[in-house]
Amino acid sequence: MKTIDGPAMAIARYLWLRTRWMLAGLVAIAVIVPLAQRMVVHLNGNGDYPAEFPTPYYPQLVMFAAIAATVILFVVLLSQFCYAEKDMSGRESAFPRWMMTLPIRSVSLVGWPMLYGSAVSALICLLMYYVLLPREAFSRMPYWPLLAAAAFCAWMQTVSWIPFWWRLARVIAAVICLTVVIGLGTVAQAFGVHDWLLLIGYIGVLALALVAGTAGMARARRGDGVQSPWSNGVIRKRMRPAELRVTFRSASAAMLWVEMRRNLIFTPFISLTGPVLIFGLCAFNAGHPSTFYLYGKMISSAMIMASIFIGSPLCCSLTVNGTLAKFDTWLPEITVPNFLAVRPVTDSKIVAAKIKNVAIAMAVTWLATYLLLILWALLPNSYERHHSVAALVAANFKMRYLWWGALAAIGLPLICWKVAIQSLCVYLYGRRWLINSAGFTTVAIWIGLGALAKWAPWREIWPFLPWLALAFVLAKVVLAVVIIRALVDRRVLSSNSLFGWSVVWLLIVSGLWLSVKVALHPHLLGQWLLAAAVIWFVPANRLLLAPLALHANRHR
Amino acid sequence: MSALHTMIEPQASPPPRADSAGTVVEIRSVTRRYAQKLALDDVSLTLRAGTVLGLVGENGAGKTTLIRHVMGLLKAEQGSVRVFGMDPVLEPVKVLSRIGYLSEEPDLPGWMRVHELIRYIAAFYPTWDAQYAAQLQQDFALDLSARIKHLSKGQRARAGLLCALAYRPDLLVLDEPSSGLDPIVRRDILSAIIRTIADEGRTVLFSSHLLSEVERVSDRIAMIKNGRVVFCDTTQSVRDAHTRITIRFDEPREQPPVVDGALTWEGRGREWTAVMSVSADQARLAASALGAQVVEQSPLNLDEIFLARANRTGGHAS
Repeated sequence: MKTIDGPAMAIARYLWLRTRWMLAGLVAIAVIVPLAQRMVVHLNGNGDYPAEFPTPYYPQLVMFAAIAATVILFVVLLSQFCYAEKDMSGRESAFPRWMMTLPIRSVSLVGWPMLYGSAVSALICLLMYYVLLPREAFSRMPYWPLLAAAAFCAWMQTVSWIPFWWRLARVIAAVICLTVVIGLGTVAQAFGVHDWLLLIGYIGVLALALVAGTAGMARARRGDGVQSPWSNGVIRKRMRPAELRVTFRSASAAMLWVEMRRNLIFTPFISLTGPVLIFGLCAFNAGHPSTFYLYGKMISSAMIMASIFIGSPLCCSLTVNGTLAKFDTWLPEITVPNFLAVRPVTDSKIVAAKIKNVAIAMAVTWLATYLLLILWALLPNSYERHHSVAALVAANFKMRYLWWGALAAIGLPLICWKVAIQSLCVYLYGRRWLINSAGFTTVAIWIGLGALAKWAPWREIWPFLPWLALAFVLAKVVLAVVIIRALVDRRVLSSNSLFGWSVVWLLIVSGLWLSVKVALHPHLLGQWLLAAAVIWFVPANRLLLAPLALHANRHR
Repeated sequence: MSALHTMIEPQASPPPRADSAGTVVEIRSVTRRYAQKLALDDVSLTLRAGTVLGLVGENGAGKTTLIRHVMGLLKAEQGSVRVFGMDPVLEPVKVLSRIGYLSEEPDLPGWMRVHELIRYIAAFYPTWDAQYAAQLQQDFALDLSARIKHLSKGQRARAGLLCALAYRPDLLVLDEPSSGLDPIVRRDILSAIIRTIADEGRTVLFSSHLLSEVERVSDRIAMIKNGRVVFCDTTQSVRDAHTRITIRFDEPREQPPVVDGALTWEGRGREWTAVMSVSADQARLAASALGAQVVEQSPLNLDEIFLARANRTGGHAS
């Protein structure tokens, strides 16, 4: 067998095997983007763009796609250079344990991957310049961002490889490193510091990363650094066996507790972190106009802020959708773990715990969101320096708005809850092929519906719309009967549970139908269509399928 | 070990531990395929109440697949599985509430603390004995406030064992429970599980590579090879049914003789040693029929029988 000479080559080979496809992707971007831009320009008549786009639109689109792909590749490459496959929230070093036992010095173990990672990061930065800037500007670009990218990678590696006795310390250290590395160049440039001085400064930052990384690696290799100075039982509460007598009321309560441990903090935290940060920053921006334009029209800061507040929990519910079926969010396994599968509990109770948990998490998230929204609405904003959104609403208040507001206040959590649970049956089935194809199928269906909406002969179809709605409702009912029969055959759902589920579903449908009926103008949507839309909106079959899917996953 | 024995007291009103015929597990002609691989091939086994059945076989022989069928984690493609007279797939709650399960890698959630794990598991079992759980926790020296992921492998096994025992299950199913564990944890597992449970008249089904342990505690032994049950009998009957015999011929031979029941042959020239799946008397008769002289004959332990059955002795296979 051919051997590799020296640690530098061995580490290079190992990193090459880990990153070769990502690096190939970067090369592909460097080759394809200029060609694609030229081709687009050529096809559009050498810069003769459609009149509705005031700036060259298509080359920008290519450029944005390339930047997005490069950023994604950079993040993936960074994780590969940091060996981030281990639990990054843990206290131990993320550096592979088997490599720590190699007979080489810590400085080599840290230095070589740091050198390779930094070099690749600088090259990615160069690639971004190449894609982003016109040719003449490319030759005049400052050099410090290249070294800033290298320093960023080096410090991310250092932070990943140092053992921390407090698990949050790694996150805090990463945020501080990111701020310092990026802030150093930005602030220095603002104060007119010469490029060469900045370059020297960044070389110092890189050297510091190497020193800190080496010291951290030495501690990790001898097993130090993961015990807090106060871990000798002074702070940690010692449990007494007598406390074991306190148990959960039921298996459902125990499962709900597990689910809540996972989502009750995660969902509000993820949903609100972004809005709170932006809200905090915008609080100092009152009276300034927005810099966001869409098709030549300014989008007000208030509108953007409201969208962020509402959009953030929606995005979070999509994340919950992808992880809810798993017993442990961070594990890649999609099968039911033995730990849960061997417990004497029905599949429907496991599903019910998940659904209840999402409902509670969404209620908490939206309650906090509404409180923040109220606070934001009461503060002065960018409409007018001395006026708040609340004042504007009060000045234009109509009774009908109150009803719409209440409907939205109930509807938004309901939409998030629906988004979070609607794919439960796909994930609980535990087959990778279904999970992978479900996303593509959903996108294809939406594209198909979009095409139908655009090109269907609506004038001819319109008179038959109530009949189509009726056919749709009937199809949903027939499908529900088939699923219920399968559930009963497999003894997955008892008749009592089935009755309970049906009552809850009917109550939600009736309540929603009544609320929308009151809120809508009577001529806007016919009764039939409204009823069909509400029945379509409230999930039934997908929820019924969830315990059946879990049954197939648990008893393969 | 003695402390463990003394702390276990029989329940006041034990639930019925088998069906009317005294059978706890009944597997009939179960066949299972994983793509092209036949994992179980027409397997039939019966486990009666109060017995300890040791399941032995090579890696990939089908032991875990069989156990997963008993737990209802796999559905029989062909044949049927009945545990306490019920189908574990159709009646998971009734069946699983009476089974204690421990596998080689108890996939306990790492983020839970030990006391949280115990509280969580207790919620599923109406028969959970909190006093017994507390005793086991003290005997195993489990730190209640420690997170599962910070426990050693041995401590994790003990935590899994506590969770499998504290509700006093009627059937204990153990899938390679002591693999990779130190002798002290193995002793804990063996003493706490096998003897105490058997003393209470409960039933145990366990698979293990440590054949000396299987031999020590099992009433019956079943060997699985390539998805088929090679034998299933009492430990003594299995040992009686196998023998090692060394014979000497008058003339040297290139190849070992062909004899019914010979599992492996070793030797060269005039002297050959065979491991045979026949009784000692039958082996002597077979030797004299060949015109050979018996030089030595000895009983086999389970390890030797297992190796011979697995054809891994390095000698000539019959």
